[in-house]
Amino acid sequence: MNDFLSMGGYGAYIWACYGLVLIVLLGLGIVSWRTQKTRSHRADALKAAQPRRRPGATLGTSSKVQP
Amino acid sequence: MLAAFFSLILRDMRLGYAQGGAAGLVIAFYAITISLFPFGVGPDAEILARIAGGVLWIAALLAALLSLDRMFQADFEDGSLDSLTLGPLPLSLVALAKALAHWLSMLLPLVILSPLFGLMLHLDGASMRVVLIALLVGTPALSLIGAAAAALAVAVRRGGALIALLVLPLYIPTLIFGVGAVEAVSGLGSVSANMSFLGSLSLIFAVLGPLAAGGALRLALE
Amino acid sequence: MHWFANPARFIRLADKILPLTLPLTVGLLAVGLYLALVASPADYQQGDTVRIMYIHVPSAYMALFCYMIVAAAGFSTLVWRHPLADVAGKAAAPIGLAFTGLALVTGSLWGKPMWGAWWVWDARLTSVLVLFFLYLGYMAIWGAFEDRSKAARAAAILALVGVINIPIIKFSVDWWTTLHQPASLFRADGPSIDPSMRPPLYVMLAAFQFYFFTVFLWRIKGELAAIRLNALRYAGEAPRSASPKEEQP
Repeated sequence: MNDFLSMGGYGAYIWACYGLVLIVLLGLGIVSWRTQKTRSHRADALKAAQPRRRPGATLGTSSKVQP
Repeated sequence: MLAAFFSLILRDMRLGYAQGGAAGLVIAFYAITISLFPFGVGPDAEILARIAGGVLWIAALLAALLSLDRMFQADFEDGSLDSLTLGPLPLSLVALAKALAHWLSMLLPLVILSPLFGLMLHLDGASMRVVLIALLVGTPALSLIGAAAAALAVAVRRGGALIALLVLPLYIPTLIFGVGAVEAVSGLGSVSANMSFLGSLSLIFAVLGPLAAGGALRLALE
Repeated sequence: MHWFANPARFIRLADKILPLTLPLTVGLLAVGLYLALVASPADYQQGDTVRIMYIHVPSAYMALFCYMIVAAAGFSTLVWRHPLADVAGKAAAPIGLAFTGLALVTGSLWGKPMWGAWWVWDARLTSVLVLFFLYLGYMAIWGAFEDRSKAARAAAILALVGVINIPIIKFSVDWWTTLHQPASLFRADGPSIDPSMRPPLYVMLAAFQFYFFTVFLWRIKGELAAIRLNALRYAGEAPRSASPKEEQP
């Protein structure tokens, strides 16, 4: 196990490389996943909320009707 | 159409030297940048002669960069860019004319003055000739690439700092072959090969730069 | 709103593809890591540092691959005005930037034990460094515009100028390094690669590729949601406030 970790004396470099790659890729992946999730939730919520906020609105012209 | 093209070049050159024009400023910037290097690396003649080619080229790159944001900005703000679109020239030719005017009024004086600075950096005669020719052949590419970046920056409106980021990576090949030609004098490679690459860069960007700039100007004017 | 028809269909398609690519990414990555770190032999010349190659080379490859995606997206933005193209370019660029950065750092960490220096102005590292700057410029253009469609086209123009420049830059940097440096101590990648090193390298390449597709789809979905959110906000708030707040990703 120690042999594996020391990687013939180059362990620091190798593990730094692999660690960094994993951290960056994981970080980018999580950020990308979460933004799309929260944004589409927010968009869905907004869409659901909009007709209720403006009861007089007719379909299709809703954006031009004052609340 | 040709008449419109040349009159646009002349107009821009006149503006460059008129009061408030940038041409004098750019030359002063070039001179100051070069004179910073001896302070940075020490006055040792051998070291200065060794790096002189690179110094002259990098100073030229920075001077070109400094003058780029004026290429379209003023014309855009006072509306003359709009009126140019009504003229006979397509926007990409407008960009080509402006790039040529930029080269003639901003960079050509630097090229002509460069032997003087070469002298101050202890560059020998043979290398100096090559530097002069290399700058002459290579600097048009700087104006032509710069036209594309300047046009993009005009479209952005607050694009001053953006230009540097866009343009400097694209200047690298010109820098490499320009300095390569100088170093070839002292035996590292062939002068003529470097020169012909410099020339081809200028020719490639004579097409590519104005095309991209034209597209970007169309965006700016929308 | 027929404009939205296309993105909606795309999102449905993406939702079908993602459940496949995500487990493939994770699985390939696990296998790749096992092969790269455990099951492959150390190089007789470079020792265990050769294992860095298994992530360095795929990162560098992905850096270029992402730029090709960005450039292709730019091309279809300008030529066909395809509504998804600019979204694709914007989505791919940060992934490309990440891979470019990783290629640089892993190259540096590989260079230290091999060349004895953190940074060597070697042709490949230098070209990747320039590519990094190109990505920064592309993303800066996206960030600098207020108007989305203008930003998309300006960024597309830059991407195309960049992609024509990549071979020129590569050539000039190769030229420059052969001039200034004795031939490289070794050539780790290239056709002379030992057969025992191929499986981990190829598996890691595939893993990175699938990682790209997964995150790429997520980012496209995020972009599309941002556009939809803006449109909804604009529709909802335009009568009340003059300037709808932009959703800045």
